[in-house]
Amino acid sequence: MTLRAVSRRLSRQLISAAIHVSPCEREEWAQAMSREADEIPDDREALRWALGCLQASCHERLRSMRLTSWWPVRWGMALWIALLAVDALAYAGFTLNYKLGLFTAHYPYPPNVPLLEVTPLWEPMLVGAAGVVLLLAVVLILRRSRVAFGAVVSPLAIALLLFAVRFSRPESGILQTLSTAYQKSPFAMIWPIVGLAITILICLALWQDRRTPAPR
Amino acid sequence: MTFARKWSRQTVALLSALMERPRTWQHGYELSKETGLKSGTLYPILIRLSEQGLLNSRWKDAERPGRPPRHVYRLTATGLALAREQVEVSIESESGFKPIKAGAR
Repeated sequence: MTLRAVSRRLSRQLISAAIHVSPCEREEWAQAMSREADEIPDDREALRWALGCLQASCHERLRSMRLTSWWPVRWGMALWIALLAVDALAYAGFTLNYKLGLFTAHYPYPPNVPLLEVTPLWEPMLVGAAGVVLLLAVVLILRRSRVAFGAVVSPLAIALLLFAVRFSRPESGILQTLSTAYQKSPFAMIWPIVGLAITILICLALWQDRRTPAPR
Repeated sequence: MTFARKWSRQTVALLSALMERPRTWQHGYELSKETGLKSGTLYPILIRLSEQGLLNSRWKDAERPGRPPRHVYRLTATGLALAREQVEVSIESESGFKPIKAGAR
């Protein structure tokens, strides 16, 4: 077999690999690249062209793959949001119970009582509503709905707003809480920051999905 | 219509090549030779431009009988306006615009 024949054969194999690798929605483009290879008179150039085709097909394949379409990632995202929902609902439940007088005698966390006293009634109600929306977001994430982004971002925006309101009021005790936590261990502050970063990453992934839904 | 997006040098080179003959349908290989872009770089750019509605593509029967049809490309009206704008910006910019020619790979 001559070098020319080997080169042409290799080109054809690379082209067929490129067509195979290319995602379904790019099949026309893969065909377009392969047709051009047939028109190249020089064997070495045809081989280089075929290598480029394979590179382009791999590029398109990687681009079409979405991390969030991988089920462990999607379930991980849903689990994290579910944890946030449980946290919000637990806070709302405890605070509302205290506010409604159900815990007056046997409230399980006495150090929190001064903080609960200054907490307005609307705050746990709002957090409870945010928790319910987050639970809804869990279902929406698992169903790959485009609305999932809004269902995660709106409660998060409420939570950040509440944090800002609390932070601006010294009587809310948030500064003391943060200060105590920091004095115990400066590393304790890492976890809320990591948690916020994970939530922001999830929001970004959902935003990306909202713009261009992942292929099912 | 103003496009604030900054394009890569390769994209500007391709837009420039397509802009030179806006009414002519051009083949991928022809564009590759003209711009010096390898197929692995050229086609992802062509795909993006087509997705953004800046490029028209169609299958054209081969000139030689018995050969399969080939994919050909030309800029849309929007693509042409953008190409003119981008090439002008690239020429005026500090770095300057140097089309990537074959052999300079």
